[in-house]
Amino acid sequence: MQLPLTYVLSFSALLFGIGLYGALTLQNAIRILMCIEIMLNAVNVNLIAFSRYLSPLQPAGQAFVIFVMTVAAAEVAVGLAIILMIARRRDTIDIDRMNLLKW
Amino acid sequence: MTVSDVLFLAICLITLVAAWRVVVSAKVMHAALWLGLTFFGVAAVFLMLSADFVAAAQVLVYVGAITVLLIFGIMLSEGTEGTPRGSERSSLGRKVAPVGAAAGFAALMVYLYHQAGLRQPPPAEVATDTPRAIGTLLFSDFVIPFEVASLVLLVGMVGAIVLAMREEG
Amino acid sequence: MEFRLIAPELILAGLGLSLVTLGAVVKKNSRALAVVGVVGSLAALAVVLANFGLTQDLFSNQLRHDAYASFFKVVFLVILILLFTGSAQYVRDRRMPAGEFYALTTLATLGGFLMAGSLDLITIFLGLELLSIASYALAGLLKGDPRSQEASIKFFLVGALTTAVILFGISLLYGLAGTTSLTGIAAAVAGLSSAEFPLLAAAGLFLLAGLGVKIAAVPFHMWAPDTYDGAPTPVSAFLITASEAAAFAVLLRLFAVALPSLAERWQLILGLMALVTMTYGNVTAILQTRTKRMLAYSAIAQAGYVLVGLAVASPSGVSAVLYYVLVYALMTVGAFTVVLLLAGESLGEEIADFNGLSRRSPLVALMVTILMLSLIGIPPTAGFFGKLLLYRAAVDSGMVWLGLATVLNGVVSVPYYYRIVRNMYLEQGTTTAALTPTVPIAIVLILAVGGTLLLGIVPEPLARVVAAISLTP
Repeated sequence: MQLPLTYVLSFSALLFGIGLYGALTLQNAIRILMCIEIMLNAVNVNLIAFSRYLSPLQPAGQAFVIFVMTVAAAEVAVGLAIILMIARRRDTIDIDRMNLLKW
Repeated sequence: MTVSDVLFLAICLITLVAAWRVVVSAKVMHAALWLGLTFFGVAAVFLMLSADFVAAAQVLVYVGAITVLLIFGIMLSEGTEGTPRGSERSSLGRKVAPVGAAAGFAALMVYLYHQAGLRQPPPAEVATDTPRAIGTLLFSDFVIPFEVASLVLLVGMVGAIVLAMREEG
Repeated sequence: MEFRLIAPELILAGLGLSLVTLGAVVKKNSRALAVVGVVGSLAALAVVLANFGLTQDLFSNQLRHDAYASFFKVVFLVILILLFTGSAQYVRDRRMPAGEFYALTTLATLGGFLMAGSLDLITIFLGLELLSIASYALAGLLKGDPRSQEASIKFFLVGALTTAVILFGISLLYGLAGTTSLTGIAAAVAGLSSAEFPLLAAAGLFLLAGLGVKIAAVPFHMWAPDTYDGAPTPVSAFLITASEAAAFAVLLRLFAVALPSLAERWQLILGLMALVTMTYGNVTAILQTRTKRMLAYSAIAQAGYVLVGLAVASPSGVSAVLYYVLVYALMTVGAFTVVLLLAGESLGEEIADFNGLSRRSPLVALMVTILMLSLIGIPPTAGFFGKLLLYRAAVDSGMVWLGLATVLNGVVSVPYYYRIVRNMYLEQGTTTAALTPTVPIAIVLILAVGGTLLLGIVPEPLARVVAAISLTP
């Protein structure tokens, strides 16, 4: 593959943008979580791209991606537990419907 | 443009479409399946950037664990899907602001990358034995983050269990 | 040597693990767990103090042990010890899962340690996530309470989004510098071409925005009042003090060590951010009727004061921030402990619950008055001296307007702090039964209020300590 770095980075920026748009507009908490995962994936693409193009023999960027994945997994686990805890008590996980506290 | 360039662009396109479908699908379960495809697409991008170990980890962790976890979550909170998308949003500001933020972000970053002139193709030399290289890094330079990552997982586990557990009595 | 210097971290990790295990064994006895937690934290504090003066980079420059990090560690441990001491009864009354509460708080503190003591973006990121993920779970620990649930989900979604934004900024820094080490970034940034500089600015902006969320600076504060209001009271106190202090520790180190050129160019932006944050927090706090919500807006305002120290980008600014962070932790934990005390009789949620407190317990009312005076910044309390340091730092680096804004904001904040004092002394309460604090709560109040007074009356020793602390050797 001979494409310049800008292409890969632009792909990642678009992916991040899509995730950001979803996270800001959606109401279902699980779907917001999905969009945040898309954003984290975009970051990983960035890290891998920089690692491949700028320091191909020193895969620090790749090691960083492994850490990001670890954190993402822990985050999703806690997030889903929170969502389930709420789903059990009320019949909605729409964040628009959560208005005991003035959002 | 070589064959692999075209292939790379095609993968990027598929990934972006899949990510977009995650946002706009009417059903949350469909969104989860599109999310799986997005993760696969990103794994393919990793492969083409010669990050084979990370690509494998991506498939295992994101497709294998996170997507499945999300699908479990969807099934366990079944019947709580609530309002279909967009039906409650009326105020113009709340509709326009996210579009502006997301599109503005993507446009700005693409412009900045272009300005910075990062036009070089990938260098020819590349680390071949990536699992060994990454493993060595994890146990030398990154030994502290590696240990902390285990604590992060522990906290994730304890937090998830204590919140999701039904109260006794 | 390396292991001696990370001994406090190891102690906290071990403490967290043993609290999880103990919590499963002694389910009901939250007091025993609190004792274990306090003893462990005291041990960690002793080691931190013993190592205070040592400076060394550890583990391939992942961590830096210096006086700056040690000072923040002392602050975190003081918060942890006071909260553990004061919260045992609350944890039992509200039937919170005790083992998990103490363990997660301990591990979150460890995350703060790593944020304050790290010299590498990877470790900073992991420390931040250790703190954040533990906090999401902590905010939801009143499992049956819909407010706590709401606090938890809002905190989680905003926090996860923030993580993505911070990571994007980190990935750009890594791309520009080819390394994640802060000193390496500083070296690389110096040689950056003018075409690449906007990318650096974007990276700095993402990091500032992300950490701005963590310190609840305007315009990234939307989540904070809800979370601080709905979360369990000890957790709110922890988030407002320790979690925000950790984010400040990272911000200061990041801008002073890795991005000094940005810090100088952004003086005005950061100054305006400080101004807007303190003003917004103070004005909105006046309108609140719920105690924790008022304290949440007050926390936003106080974060604005601390931002002054960041905006001036000078060594005296760093010293002022350190002083203020410690003082603020004492005042806030004290105030929240009073809320915990009132929560013992299902009061304290509304500001009106303070009515007539002076007749129920003159001593507690006096202590609250001292805390409020200190939060406003009136001598002879520590809050006054902390603000004086911030004011002087601002004026010395030519930002007189920012110094004046700090003083004026102190005036703006008088009404809502005064309202609590007035309620205690002039209003009739629903009950006149004498209020006697339990021994642990009394100890915490004495330590917090005593510290606030002591640091206000004899500020010089601590002022000398913080003046000697510098980020750039």
